[in-house]
Amino acid sequence: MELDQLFFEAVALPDDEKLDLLDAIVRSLNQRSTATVAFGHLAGAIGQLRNECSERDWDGYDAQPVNAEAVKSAIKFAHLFSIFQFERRIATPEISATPTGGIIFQWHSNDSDLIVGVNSGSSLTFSIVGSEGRVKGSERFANKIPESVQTLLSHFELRV
Amino acid sequence: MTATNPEIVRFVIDRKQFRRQPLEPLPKVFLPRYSPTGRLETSVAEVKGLEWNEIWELAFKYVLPAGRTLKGGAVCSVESIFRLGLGLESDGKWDGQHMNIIGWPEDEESRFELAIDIARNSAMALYEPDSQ
Repeated sequence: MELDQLFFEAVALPDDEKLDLLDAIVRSLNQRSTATVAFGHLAGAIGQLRNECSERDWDGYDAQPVNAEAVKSAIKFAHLFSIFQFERRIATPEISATPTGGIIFQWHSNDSDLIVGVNSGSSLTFSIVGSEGRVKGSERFANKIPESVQTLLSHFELRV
Repeated sequence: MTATNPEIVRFVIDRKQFRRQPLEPLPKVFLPRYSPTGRLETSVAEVKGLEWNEIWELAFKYVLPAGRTLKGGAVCSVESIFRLGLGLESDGKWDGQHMNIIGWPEDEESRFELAIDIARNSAMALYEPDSQ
């Protein structure tokens, strides 16, 4: 149900129920707002990479320019991640271009390193190395982060 | 691996390629690019026996793009590369100090894994012009 419709319904409710529903609406708005801000930061970092790594040899080692398809895929992944990040309180990744023209998202903790790479289309590759072992693979993604990658990201949940 | 007796150095020109606390290179520093012949390679300097001022000179002479600043070098041992099943190949460039890390797999996830492993066995040496 859309939020504006919920507002109208809340008005007609008894006071105690009205407050509960309004509280739920405010929490929902905060959630959307926080995820939107997080996505803004990630999208900004991707845009900066697109500018800084748009020409060959951007690293002094003859790297390929970051390709437009990788930028599109990275934006898509960043959007999905920002929602997941809010729900699960996952650490913010470092975003980088690769010398082969792709874009990677990196997470690091005391005992684990995870890299998720996006290139073109809706596929991603990943590898994690940590004290609990190592996992690598590739997955397609559409409307949410694949379960296998969600599991790996849970290693980087922030402790409150 | 410490930065006191470096054997292999990958020069770093971006602050976002290493962490300061603790000081260590990020895996992406070692990710390979495709050479003109289509082979995956990571360009490094073989610096065993060189002083740090000689090592930095290689970066200024052969790597640093115009307008960029040298931040330092990610340092590892020859043995740490071989242990991962990768190879090192010299091509005589950079006054004979240039090498390529070769033998990278085509699948990207395995390259990520290897880059993480190399970084975990590496140290970061900062370039500090005032101390040179």
